[in-house]
Amino acid sequence: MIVYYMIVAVLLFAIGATGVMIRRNFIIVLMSLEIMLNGAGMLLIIMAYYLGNISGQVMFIFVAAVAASETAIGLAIAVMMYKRKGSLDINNFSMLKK
Amino acid sequence: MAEFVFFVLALVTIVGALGTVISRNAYASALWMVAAFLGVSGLFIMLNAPFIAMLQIIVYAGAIAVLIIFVMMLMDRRVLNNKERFNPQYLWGVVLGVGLLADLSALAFKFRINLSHIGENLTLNGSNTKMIGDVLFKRYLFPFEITAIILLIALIGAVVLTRKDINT
Amino acid sequence: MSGILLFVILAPLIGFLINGLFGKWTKPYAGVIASLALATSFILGLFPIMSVLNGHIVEYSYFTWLPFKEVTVQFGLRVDALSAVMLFVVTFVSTMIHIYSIGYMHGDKGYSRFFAYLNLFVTSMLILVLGNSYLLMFVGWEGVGLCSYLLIGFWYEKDTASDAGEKAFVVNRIGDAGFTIGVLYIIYYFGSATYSNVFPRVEDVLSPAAATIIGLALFLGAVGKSAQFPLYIWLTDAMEGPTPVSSLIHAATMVTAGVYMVARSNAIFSMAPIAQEVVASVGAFTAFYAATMALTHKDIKRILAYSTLSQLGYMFIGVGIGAYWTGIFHLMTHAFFKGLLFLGAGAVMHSMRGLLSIDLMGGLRKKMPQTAALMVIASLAISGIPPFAGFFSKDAILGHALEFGHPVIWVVGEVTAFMTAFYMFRFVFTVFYGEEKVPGLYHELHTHEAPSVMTIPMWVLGIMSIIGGLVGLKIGGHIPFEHLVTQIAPNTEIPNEKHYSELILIGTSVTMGLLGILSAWLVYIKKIVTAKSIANTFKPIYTLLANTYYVDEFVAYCIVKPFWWVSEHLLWKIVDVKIIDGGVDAAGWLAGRLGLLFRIFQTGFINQYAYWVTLGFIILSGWYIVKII
Repeated sequence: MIVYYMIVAVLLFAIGATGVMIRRNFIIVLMSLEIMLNGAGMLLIIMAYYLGNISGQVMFIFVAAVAASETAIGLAIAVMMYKRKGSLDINNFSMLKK
Repeated sequence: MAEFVFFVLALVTIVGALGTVISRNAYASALWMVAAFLGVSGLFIMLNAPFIAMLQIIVYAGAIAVLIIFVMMLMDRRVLNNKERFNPQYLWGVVLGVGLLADLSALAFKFRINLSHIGENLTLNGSNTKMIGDVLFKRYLFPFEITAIILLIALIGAVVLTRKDINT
Repeated sequence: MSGILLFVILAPLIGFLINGLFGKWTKPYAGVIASLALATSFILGLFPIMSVLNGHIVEYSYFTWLPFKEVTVQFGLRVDALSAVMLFVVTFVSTMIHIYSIGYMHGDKGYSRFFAYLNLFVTSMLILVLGNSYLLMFVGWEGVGLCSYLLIGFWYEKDTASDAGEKAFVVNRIGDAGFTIGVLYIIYYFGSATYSNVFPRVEDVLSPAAATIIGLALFLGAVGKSAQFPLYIWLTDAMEGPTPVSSLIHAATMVTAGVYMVARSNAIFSMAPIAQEVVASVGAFTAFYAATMALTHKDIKRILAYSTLSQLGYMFIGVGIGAYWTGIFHLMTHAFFKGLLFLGAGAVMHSMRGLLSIDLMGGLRKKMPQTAALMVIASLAISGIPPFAGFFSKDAILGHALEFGHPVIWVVGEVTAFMTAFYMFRFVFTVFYGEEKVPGLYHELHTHEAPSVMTIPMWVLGIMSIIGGLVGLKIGGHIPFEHLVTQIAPNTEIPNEKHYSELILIGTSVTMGLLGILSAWLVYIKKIVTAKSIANTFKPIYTLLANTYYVDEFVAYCIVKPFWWVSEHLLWKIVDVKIIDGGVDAAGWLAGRLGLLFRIFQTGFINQYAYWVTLGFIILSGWYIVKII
């Protein structure tokens, strides 16, 4: 049974990663990142259950806090980019090259 | 019975995640994401983590999803729902994603641990919440404080970033 | 007592911190704060001094400063007869000059910065004087050097001032190198730098040759700090600083650190007659040489600067011949009257709006009666007229020079005494007596007497210049000051000490002083022969003196120019450009080439970075899977 749970977590992670790689909309990229983080957090809960160790669940709380911070900052960047570029296409954000 | 519930929840989760990544409409994407988070929280209940399941619903399916939708409401629909969903080279991304999946699945199948403590030590006096509180505020007090600071910094950062446009 | 002694040093340090850190807010009160800090230091310092006068040595160790394996250095303070004299002179004169500066620096935009530096200087000077080891003395030594640099270049907007500060710093480095070598030798031989460990064992540990080397090395340090020939060239340029600085640092205290250091090392010098001979000869030569230059200068501060050099030369004669107490005695009296002379020059500058040339002044007595009276007192003191302070100390030095078997130095000293009296009264007569040289100038400049915040400290120093020498009066067969200092710095034992009638010695000194005053009076008041005709008669000598023996030009051509040539043609164009820059350029070129390669990956598209990250992750985890299968 543990393998099935892990497969679900891995699927969440991989789908999220694929979303980050292929989507152009910045906000959807952020959502994909949330899914990736949730997949990783789910693995913590699985291990907490199968190892009989509560620390995994506590760690999930920290992951959730970091995910919330990351979303807040990410959305702030999205709003700022939207104001400056009038677009959410991350290919328009390629300012690192200049 | 438990297997059946698991498969239903897993199906909701995976379909929700796929829907998030694939759907053309950003609003639909956000709703699919909420579905995925709800599925995950159901799985958490099955994993004897009721407190975390509630946290998942409140923080992810609640706060984060609402925040994202709220931000999207501030934006122009035509900008938000761009015609081009994917990158020009999206096939490479899919290939890499599948490769990642294969890789991690192989690791999952290879994974071996001692399973003699399944479901133990997760409650204190019959309450999972008490146990988490006990461990969080005793053993992980310092990381907890650091997390509080991280949240504060994120708050300030978000305010500073959106306050006004930076002149270039 | 240990706390009191520590606070003697801490009080000016606290003043420095207050004015240095919060100068923006303390500006109106900076002078008062600094003076109060100094006054506290002076009053607290009286307690250990009283204890020393009762025959004790006050020594406390506060903490371990440098815990090395073989040499452990404590941070300890020591007040014995020698440092008690210095402690008194430094805190007393500093307090007076701080109070004077409240008036002198009034309205300067660096007002609080000035007082912060002054307090820092006094802190360093007290560490130098009170430290109980050579290493602590070195800390103070470098600290006063730093403050000297900062204060010479106080008006750093002026190129000449900042250049003069740099010159002082660079020239002092040469001396400091010598001092460092001497201290390292001491640590090498004794395994300690603490005075109480070193001096009692000098005769067991050091051979005469080693003592000579250490003595000469230490003396090189003293030559730099106390501006003796040939490292004196920084002192005259140091007059670019504000006048209270010249008075405090470049006349009364810092430049006498070398004399104090030689007297402190008396056990070493007494073992090395050659080193003593060098000290006395350099002192005598500088005394004479600087006095000749003071004869022709027209800039009032430079006249006093050369006079300081000359008087420092006297002090080195005193410590060089082995009668250490005479050098310290002259140090003390000189601090009073030379401090006063500089303060008087400052008062003149203050009321003349910064004019310096004696050609523009004359008859100032009517405008500034108090300053004029004080300057006459100080000049009488420096000329060695009894009963003023300078008479006792100068006479003690010259008398001992003759008795300890140095007749040549005695002759040079007496001739210099004549010249000293002459140039000081040339200064006094031309500036304060006679008629106005430029009609209407004083009216235009609103020349007036200095405010009382300036004149009162001058009067205090003036009284000390009159009575300060009385501690050298022979009472009941012994001289109190000699008795005090020789406990710590006993005279070198001379095998065949000669004795001369004191009346003849005193008579010669006083005659020389009076002759100098008389000739100045004849030339500048009676104008029997004008200064111009003397100058024309001895044209070559006059030109040589007026150009200060062309020493600055000599240094510029023979030391600075070659130094620059080597710097430019060897160090810059070959070492720097070819070797160092070449190496840096090669590193940059390599990085550039590598960058061209890695640039391919930097497309600027965020998705593509995600591709690379994922690819890297797949490769790493794939490698792990292959390993565990």
